[in-house]
Amino acid sequence: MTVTPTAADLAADVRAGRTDPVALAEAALTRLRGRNPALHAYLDEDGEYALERARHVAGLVREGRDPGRLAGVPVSIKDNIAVTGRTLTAGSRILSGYRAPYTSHAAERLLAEGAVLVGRTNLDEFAMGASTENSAYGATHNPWDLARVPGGSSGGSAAAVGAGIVPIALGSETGGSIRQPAALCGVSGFKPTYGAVSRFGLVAFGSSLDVIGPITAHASDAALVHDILAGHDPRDSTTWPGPRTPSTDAPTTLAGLRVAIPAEFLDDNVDGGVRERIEEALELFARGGAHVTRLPHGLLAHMSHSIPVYYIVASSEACSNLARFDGIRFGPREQGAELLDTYERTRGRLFGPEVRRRIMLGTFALSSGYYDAWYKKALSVRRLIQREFEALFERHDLLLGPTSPFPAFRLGERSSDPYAMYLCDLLTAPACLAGLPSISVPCGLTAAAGAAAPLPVGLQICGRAGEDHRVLAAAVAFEAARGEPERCPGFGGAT
Amino acid sequence: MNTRSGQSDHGIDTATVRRVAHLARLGLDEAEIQRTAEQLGTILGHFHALQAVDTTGVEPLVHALGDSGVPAADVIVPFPQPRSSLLALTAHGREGFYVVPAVLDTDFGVDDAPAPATSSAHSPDEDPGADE
Amino acid sequence: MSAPVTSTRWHPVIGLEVHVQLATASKLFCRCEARFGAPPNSLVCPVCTGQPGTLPVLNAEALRLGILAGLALQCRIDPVTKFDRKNYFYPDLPKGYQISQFDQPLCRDGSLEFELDGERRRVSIVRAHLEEDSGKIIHPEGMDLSLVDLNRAGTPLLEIVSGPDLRSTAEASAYLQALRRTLRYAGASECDMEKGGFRCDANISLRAAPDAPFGTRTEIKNLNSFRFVAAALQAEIERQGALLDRGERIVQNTMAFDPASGRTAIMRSKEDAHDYRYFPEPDLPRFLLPAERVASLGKELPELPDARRLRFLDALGLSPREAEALLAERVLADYFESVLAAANAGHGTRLSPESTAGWVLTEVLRLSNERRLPVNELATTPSRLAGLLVLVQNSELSVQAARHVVTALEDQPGVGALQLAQSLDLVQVSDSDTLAAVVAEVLARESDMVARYRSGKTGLFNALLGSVMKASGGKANPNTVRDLLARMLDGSAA
Repeated sequence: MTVTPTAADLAADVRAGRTDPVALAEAALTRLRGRNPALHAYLDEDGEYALERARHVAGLVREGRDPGRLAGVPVSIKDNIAVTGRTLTAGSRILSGYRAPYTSHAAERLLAEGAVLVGRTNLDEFAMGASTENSAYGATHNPWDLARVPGGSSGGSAAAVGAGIVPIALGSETGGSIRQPAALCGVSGFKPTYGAVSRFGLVAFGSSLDVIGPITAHASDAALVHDILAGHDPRDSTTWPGPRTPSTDAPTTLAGLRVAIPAEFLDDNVDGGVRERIEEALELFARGGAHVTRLPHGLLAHMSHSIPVYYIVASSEACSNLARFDGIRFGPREQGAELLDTYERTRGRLFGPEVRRRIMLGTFALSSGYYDAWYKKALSVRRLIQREFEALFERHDLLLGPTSPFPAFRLGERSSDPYAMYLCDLLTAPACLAGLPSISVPCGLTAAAGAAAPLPVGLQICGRAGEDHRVLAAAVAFEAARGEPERCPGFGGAT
Repeated sequence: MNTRSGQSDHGIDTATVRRVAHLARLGLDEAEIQRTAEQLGTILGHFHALQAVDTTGVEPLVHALGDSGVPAADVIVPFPQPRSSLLALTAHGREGFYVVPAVLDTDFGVDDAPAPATSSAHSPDEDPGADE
Repeated sequence: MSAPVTSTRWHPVIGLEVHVQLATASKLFCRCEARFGAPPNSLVCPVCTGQPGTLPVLNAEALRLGILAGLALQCRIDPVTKFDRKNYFYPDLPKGYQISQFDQPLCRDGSLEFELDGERRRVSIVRAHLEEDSGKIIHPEGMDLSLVDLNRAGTPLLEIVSGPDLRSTAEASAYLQALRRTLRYAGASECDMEKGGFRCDANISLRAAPDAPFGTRTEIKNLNSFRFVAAALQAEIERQGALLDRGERIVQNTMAFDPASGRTAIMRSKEDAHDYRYFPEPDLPRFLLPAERVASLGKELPELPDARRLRFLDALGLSPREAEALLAERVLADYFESVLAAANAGHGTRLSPESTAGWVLTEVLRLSNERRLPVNELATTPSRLAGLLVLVQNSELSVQAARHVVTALEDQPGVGALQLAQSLDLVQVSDSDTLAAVVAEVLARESDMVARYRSGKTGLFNALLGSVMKASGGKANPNTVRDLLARMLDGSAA
């Protein structure tokens, strides 16, 4: 039973002329302006731009033309996905003042369906982080508990949707950056199969892992948005050229699904409260007619190496991807007396500490004498991890588990120890390494030590490569079986 | 330091940090060089277990994609926005050029028509599989 | 080495790395125009200026031309090719890395054959790979800054690496000439040095004897003309020779050549060598090149200059000089062969290859120069020239008259050679009766000379011949006149 309307509902009302898209945009802006001072989910509100888009959609409706499947729906975009003329800070000072000279594939698709882009959401600098504390522009706060992190790196997008400011936001994920903040903010977050959605216009972090996906208040909207985003883009050679199954083609039922939970997903490092919610979710799958199998330890034996593999691969690619930020052709420059000086000052001063650390790690792993021991080794273990997943998917349709080992943690709790922060990706990085589609859907709340109120827990549903539709359909069926997800206090309000 | 065998303790000395920082063109102060050496050492220490994995005969996985590259037709599609729009993204433009501190490298190159003075063509460097 | 030796006793070992610009319309990884000489930063887009979020998309034509070049160089084309990133910082490299190919180059294990001083030479091609060019840096005089133009950034290059097989400066030059000609024939590259479309790095070492192990090498960067390559190699041979003469060691350095001083100088030492941190380009998948596709591309290749040269010499009997001259440009050699073919097909006449080559190398090149048109765009097409040359070969037109007709052919594209010759009143007279009357008339007029000739001054024959030719207005067939004159002077055929 739905309490809050879905984006699809809103769009239907706009297309039918029952709802004025300008009013929808104004309401979203009002919520944004009311909530953002406390949340700091947005880096830029883009108010005039949003209203202009809303008026355009309203004009289309008046003319009897169809504005599209997201007609008038307010959507927020993470500030590492390009829209012409809008900011694209990637959470970094090295891109302060930069305005994108072109529009990303993802934003183009949303705009073509009538979406109204409201605001640019905060993120860990260059999407490197799991708490949004690494943003050069200040941390985002969790709408469930302002003393806690929203997760990251798409923390701004997750907090915006979690607070009910917008029903849909775009995030990007390299090692868990959509699903983990979605889990920590009590919303759905979908990471598609690598190559399902064009990365054209996404500021690159780890190119072989990066994907764009939706963070939504309802799982069905994640399916809708993914269907809009997915497909071949000639500007991204890593998108698949072949046909794709829309998620609407998969039956939204739990009955007959062969689901499994690998023991590695419920190890000791998973918080007890989180484990309880996952157990309940498994029961729900079983009650809905799914065949639930508990897998013994050892089938994902190499999953324990996911953190090193992920950090070496992503950082190696990142050190190269971030070489273009040199202050020469765009962005601020810290001019030195000589060229070398100028490079070192600009990059040394305008990148934040975590970005510098990962550039160092990646440069080290690729450098002469260390390449084989680190970079190449990591890619080989990555192959082993992928093979283990493939083997499991021979007998199971979906794998289930918690998205995050723990609920939202306190601001500053993990920021002093880089490795402690890296462990946030423990359960999400494996699917990224194997390129698999995976969604986090809300599965209840848990009490956390020191938390004023219970905090959300996310269930991860992971599928075969290319079977995004099955994963999304299962998530929709799970949400239908469970009912409207719990919403945080003040959800959808302006204060 | 013997890293190929993976037998070392992965301690990173400050000389290595300096060399890597130079490769990455990151200006780090003395304190950060020390801190980075410690942090990278700790992180790589945590990653050490990777070295024990037997990857004999395992092909590295660059990305989880099929071998299906489709190149694009050779048709000129000019950038639709005015020429100045990209140059306007930096405060360091001048007469249609990007301005950088003087490049001291002594390469000798071909002259291009609109060049106001001497020009040099920097070419990519040594290559793998080169002779001898 | 104890005793002093002269540098002439050192034997050079040279290997060349040549970057050629592939003849595409657009760049290697974006669809900006690949053109030389445009205003600075006017042929750029978000991709080739390295804006955040942009991605490379491979140019299919660059891939095709790279394969064609590889096949022309007898290379193996593997069924899979992939790209890698070569990481280094430089203001003309927008992304901070160059997309290149490291361990799976497009082409491997080829060779190039050519002739040097009448001897066949074969140079191995270790590999040839695709990569993007950098932009260009300009140093305005008197200013403490540099300017960057990214028009060239992303232009497709094929880097062709030879084995260390070259043994002299002359051989290196001949290799480069042969390479350039081969790639131009294959249609892979214009190899236009003026526009930086053919650039060379040279690796060179010296050794004491032709069978001694290789010495330590140096690399000379960015040699952008044949003249510079020869001069730089010579300078470096002398520099290394002098060092070795003094018993010093060669240090593995990267050198630059200064054309002004004619000297090579150290650019950077091996200790400064870059650590390029090559790794697979994650933004591009691997590209499959099935054997059938490569084979069908091979069928697109024309006959290559070295093979054509051998055929011109052996089958057509041309002199090496004529063959070289015709082969200088593929269109010229094609033109030449088309004339022979048209004479055969249109007139059933087998023209003399040698005299046809003479016509093409003189009259056709003259027209091409005068009209500033490539030979394949002249109004004097091979088949029209064939019509003319058939008239000459059949003695209907004198060589001299035919030269006039060539110009007329170019000026009057609709009119054939015979018609032009007639309208210019140039058709040769071979009719014996007509010419006998002219000869008789001349002999009567020049009775003195005839008398002296008959008294033994046989050298006057040519003077009499000239008088007859003149009297005929140049139209008399000289051979017929020669026969008539001999018969009428001596009473018998000459």
